[in-house]
Amino acid sequence: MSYISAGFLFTIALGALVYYLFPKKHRWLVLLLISLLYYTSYGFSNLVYVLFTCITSYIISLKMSEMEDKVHRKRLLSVVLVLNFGLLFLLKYCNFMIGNLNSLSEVFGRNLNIAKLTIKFPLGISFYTFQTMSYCIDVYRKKTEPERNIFKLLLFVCYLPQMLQGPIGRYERLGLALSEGSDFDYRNIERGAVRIFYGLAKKLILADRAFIFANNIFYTPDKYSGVYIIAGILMYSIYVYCDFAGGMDLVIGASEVFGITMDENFRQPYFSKNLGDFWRRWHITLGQWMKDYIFYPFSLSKACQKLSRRAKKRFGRVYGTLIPICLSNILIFFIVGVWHGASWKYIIYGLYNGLIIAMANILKPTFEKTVKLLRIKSNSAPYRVFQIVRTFILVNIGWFFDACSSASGAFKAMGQTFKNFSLKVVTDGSLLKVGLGVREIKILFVGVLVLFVIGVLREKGIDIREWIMKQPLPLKWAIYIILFFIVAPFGFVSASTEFVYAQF
Amino acid sequence: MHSSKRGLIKDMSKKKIIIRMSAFLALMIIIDQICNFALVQPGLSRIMFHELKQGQYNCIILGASHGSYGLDPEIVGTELKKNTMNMCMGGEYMIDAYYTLEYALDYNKIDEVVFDIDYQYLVNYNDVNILHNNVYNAYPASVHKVGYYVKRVLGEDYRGTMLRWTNYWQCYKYMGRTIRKKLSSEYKTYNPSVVNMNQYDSYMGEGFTFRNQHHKKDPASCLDWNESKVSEQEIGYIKKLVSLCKKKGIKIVFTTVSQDPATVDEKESGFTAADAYISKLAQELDVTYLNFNKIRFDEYDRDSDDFYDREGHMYGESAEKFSQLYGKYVNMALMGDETYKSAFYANIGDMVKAYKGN
Repeated sequence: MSYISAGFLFTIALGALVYYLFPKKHRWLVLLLISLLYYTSYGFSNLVYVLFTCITSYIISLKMSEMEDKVHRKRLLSVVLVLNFGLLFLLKYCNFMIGNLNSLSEVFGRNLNIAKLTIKFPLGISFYTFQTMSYCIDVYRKKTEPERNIFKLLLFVCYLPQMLQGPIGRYERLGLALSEGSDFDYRNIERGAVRIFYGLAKKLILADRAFIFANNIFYTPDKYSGVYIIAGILMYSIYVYCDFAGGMDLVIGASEVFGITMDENFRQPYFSKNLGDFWRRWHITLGQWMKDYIFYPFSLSKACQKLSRRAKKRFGRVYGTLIPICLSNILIFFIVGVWHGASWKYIIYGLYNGLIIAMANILKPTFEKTVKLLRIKSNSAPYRVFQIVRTFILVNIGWFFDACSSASGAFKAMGQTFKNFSLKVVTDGSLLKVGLGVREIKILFVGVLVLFVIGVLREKGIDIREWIMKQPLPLKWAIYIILFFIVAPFGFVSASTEFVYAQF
Repeated sequence: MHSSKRGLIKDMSKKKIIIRMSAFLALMIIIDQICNFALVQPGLSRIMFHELKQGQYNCIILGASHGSYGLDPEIVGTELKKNTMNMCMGGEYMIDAYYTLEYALDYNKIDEVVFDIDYQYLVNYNDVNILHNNVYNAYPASVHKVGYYVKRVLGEDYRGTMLRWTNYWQCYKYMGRTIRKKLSSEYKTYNPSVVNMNQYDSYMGEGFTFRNQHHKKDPASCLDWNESKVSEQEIGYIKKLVSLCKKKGIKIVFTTVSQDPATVDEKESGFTAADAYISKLAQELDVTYLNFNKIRFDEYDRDSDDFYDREGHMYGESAEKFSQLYGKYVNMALMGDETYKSAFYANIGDMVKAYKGN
C-alpha cells in the first residue's frame, strides 16, 4: 500500500484513534502492531529481513553494552555491521557485481556466465539498515543506552511512516520518543493532517505531472535535443524533488498525528548557494549519517592524519588540511552513489558530486580572492541569486545520471543538449507535444510558483502552516477544506502510486 | 477541590475538541457527498447491477467491452435455453468479474457462467488508475463489497475511495442537469434514459449495448500481448472464479469474442501467444476455451466493416448475427459436445491465412 493509498490514510487515522485510546505507557505497542501489519501488506518475506536486522542488532548491542574492553566491543560491532551491510550488499549489489564480472570475463574471452540471484528485494532495506546500524554504532560509542526490550527496538526498525523511504532516524531521538509515547494534543493531529495534504499536493499535482514530460524525454533521449532536453531536465528536477519531499511531508505528517516528531529531510534544497550547501538541505538525514559515521571517522583516522601531515609539508598548511577533507568527501559521495542503486550511473553521479565539492574546497581561497578583486559584495542579493542559479545548474547536470537509464545514456543526453538548439520550440507549441497539454503546463506552473513562494517564506523563517493554525476557526476550516478538495481534481491521475525513493 | 475543578475544565476542553473534530469531519463528508451527487454521472453499470438483482437469471456472461457490444443475451440465451444476463462492462478486470459473480449468486440461481477473456486485461492491470473503475463504483453496497474494497481499492490512490467525483470534476458544467437527473423518477427506477450515451448507442437491456453503423470508424487498436506483463493477481482471480463455479456446481466456459480480422492479421504473433497462454490456463483449470477469433469464415463471415474500431468492438447488427453462433457453440461446449471444434481453425495462423485468401 503506497503512501497515497486509502489504506495508508485509513491506517494512520484508525491507528491514531486506537493509539490515543491506549494508556500512554502501552501506546508503543499500538504503533508496533500497525507498523507490522502495514509492512506485511507488502508480503511476509519482507518481515524476515526486518527481524534479522532487529535480532542481530538487539543481541549484539546488549553484549556490547556489557563490555568495557573497546577491542571486544569493536569486534562485536564489526560482526553486526558485516551481517547487516553484507545482507544489504547481497540483496542489492550482488547481481550488479555478477553482471560486471560476466561482462569483464567476456572482454577477456572467457565467458563466466554466473547466474544472477532471484531474491525479491525487501522494501526500505537501505533505510532501516542505515537507521539500525547507527543505533549499534551509538551503543558501541556509548552515546546511547541499548534497548532492553526487543519489541521496542523492532518498532524503531520498522516504524510505519518512515520504514519505506526514511527519514533515517536516530535512536536517541526517534527510538526514545516511540518508546515513551505522546500525550493527546489535537494540534499535533491538525499539524500532521495539513502536512500530509501538503505532501499529497506535491506528489499528485507536481511530481506525477512533471514525471510524464521528463519520462517521455529521457525514455527516448535520441528523439530529442536542445531545448527539449533542458525542459526535460527541469521537469525532472521538479519531479524528483516533489516526489521525495512530498513523500517526506506525508511521512513526517503521519508521524506528527501520533505526536512523534521526526527529523526533517529537506530544507528548500534548490535555494542552496553551493553543492555542499545543497547536500545539507537535500536528504539531510542521509547526509548527517554519512557525516557522523563515515566522514569524521575516516578524516580523523590515523592514515588520514598521517597523509595530512605529509601534505602540509609538501603543499602548505591550507591545502594539507584540505586533502583529507576532500578525500573524505569523495569517499562519502561514492557511497551515496552506491546507496542510490546498483548501477554505474549512480556511482558516477556520486563521484560527480564528490569531485565538485572537493574542487570547491580546494579552489575556495581563489574564489574568495576573485570576489574581493571584482569588488563583489558576497552578501548582496544579486550575488546570492547568481550562487543559487549556479548551484541549480550543477544539480541539474547531476540529475542526468538519475533520469537516464544508463551512464552512457546520460552523457549522450548531455551531448544532445547542444544539438539543434532553437528557442522556437518554446513559442511554436512543440513543447506541448511531449505529453503535457496547455492545461497541465498551467497547473504545473502555478504549482511551482506556490511552492517557490512557500520556500521563500520558509527561508525567511515564516512557517505558513503555523500561520494558518493561528487563524480564526471559520477561516482556518475554509482553508483546510479548500486545500483538501483542491488536491483531488488538480492532482494528476496515473496508474502508479509509488514513490521513487520507496524502491531503495 | 482545586484540582478536581481543573480536571473538569480539562475534560470540558477535551470534549470541545472532540466535538470540533467530529464536526469538521462531518462537514468534509457532507461536501464530498454533495460533490459525488452533483458530479458523478449515472452509468449503465448501475442499471445492470439492478437488473441482476431481480434474480431471474440462470446464466451470466462476464467480461469487458467486447462482450457488452458483441453479445446480445437474449439471442445467446435462446441458444443456451437459459435466462441470460450479460454482465460484460468496459473496464471489467478479472477481479471485478469475480466479485460480480459473487453478487449475482446472492440473487440468482446461476448454473452456467460464460467468461469472455480479452487478453488486454491480463497485461494492463497495473497501467490503469482505480478512478476509472466503473464496475467497482457501481457495485451495490453488500457484504461482498467489503472484500472487494479491501482487495481492489484499499491499496490504490485514495481518491478512488474518498473522492470519487475526482474523475468527473470536469462535468461541473452539467451539474444542474446531473442533479435534476438524479432527483428524477427515471433515475430512481433505473431507467436507462438517464445515462449519457453516445448518440449511436442504444441500451437494449440485460447488459447489451447496440451501436449502429453510423458511428464513424475509430482508429484505436489493441494493446500488444506481453507475457511478462501478465498480472499474477488477475490470473489468481480467474482461478478463484473457476473454483467458485466448481464449488457451487456451476458449468463454466471461457471464450474470446471475435475481433476485427484485420487487427488479428496485423498483430498475429501477439494473438497467437495470447491464445496459447489462455488455452494452457484453461486446460490447467479443466475449462473449455472457445476463441472466436479462430471461428471459420464459412461459419461467421466477417471483415473490418463489422467492427466500429480497430480493436474489434462490434456494430450492433454484426453482434446480433454473431450472438446466435456464439450461443450455439458455447452451448455445445457446455454440453460436452466436442463437434464444435470443426467450426474453428486449429490456430490463429490458419485463420489469418484464410482471411488473406478471401
